[in-house]
Amino acid sequence: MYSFASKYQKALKQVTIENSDVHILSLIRDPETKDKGFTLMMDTYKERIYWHIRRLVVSHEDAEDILQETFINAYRFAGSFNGESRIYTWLYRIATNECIGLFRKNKNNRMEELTDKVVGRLTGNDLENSEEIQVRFQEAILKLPEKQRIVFNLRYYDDLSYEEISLIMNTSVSALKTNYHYAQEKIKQNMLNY
Amino acid sequence: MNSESEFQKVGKKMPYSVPEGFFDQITGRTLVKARQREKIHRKTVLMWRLAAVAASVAVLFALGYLVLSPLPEKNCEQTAQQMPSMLQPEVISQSPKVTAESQPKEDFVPVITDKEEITVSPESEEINDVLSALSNDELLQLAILYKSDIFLEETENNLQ
Repeated sequence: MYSFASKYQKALKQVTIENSDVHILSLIRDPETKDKGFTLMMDTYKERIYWHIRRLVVSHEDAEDILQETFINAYRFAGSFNGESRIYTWLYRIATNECIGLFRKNKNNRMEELTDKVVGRLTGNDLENSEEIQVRFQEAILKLPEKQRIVFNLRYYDDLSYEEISLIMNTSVSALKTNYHYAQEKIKQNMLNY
Repeated sequence: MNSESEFQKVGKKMPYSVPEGFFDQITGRTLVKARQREKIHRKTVLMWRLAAVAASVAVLFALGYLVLSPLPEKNCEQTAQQMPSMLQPEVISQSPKVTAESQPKEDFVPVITDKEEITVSPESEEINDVLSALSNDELLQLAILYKSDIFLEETENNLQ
């Protein structure tokens, strides 16, 4: 009985989201209601997308810039969005590409230096109310290679399916599963060695 | 063991925080930026289109000028003078010689008739001299030769 109710609620939620996607797109594509559609889209997805970005870039300032860039791009290219995938998958894709762009900009720095810098930001700023284990966990994630880090975050924190992550990262499901498995192992190892 | 139980202790909490009111303000700020970006983009597109139209019109004018405008007369004369002498008609260069003797400053056709007279008259005088010097027998032999020689007949026909 519980299982049925849970499945029903999940399906209902899915239908609601899909309907809201259709509504948002119809508003954005009409020049007269474009701003209204944009506001609705941003209010629906900004927090999800922000936290995805923040987990990747750590700094709040960088996360804010990338969040804005993501939604500005969505505003500009909403007309070319074909609607085959869900809006949030599309937004995750734009945001992830923006983050990768930022990583490439910092390519001149050595990877270890970059990781140390990011971990330094993590331990330096927001730790007043957080537990030590959370910080260690984040440090372990930040030490992962770029692709594993993105897959792990999308799967672990955002609860996205491999199919959805495949659309976001343009990678096969099997490769994503492998990446996630390696990421888990490395994080465990890292936490044990702390 | 799955990841859920592995990382159960940690959960999904994160050691990050955001400034107060951040999520309330970010939508408005982003919308303003998006509008500005859209305006700039539209202006840039418009500028590029205008530049493209101006460039195509300029190219059309240049092509039209090159194709439709006639060459000036001076240029024609110059090119004619620059042509090699081999290409110029031979008759023009010969004509002054002929006209100097008989009819100066005449057209090409009458010049040719005069040329024939000039060239024929001394030859006929010579032939008459030669014929008067010949005896009757020799003249008779010449007449027989003339009738029997096919080549002389052909040339006569050609002349006619």
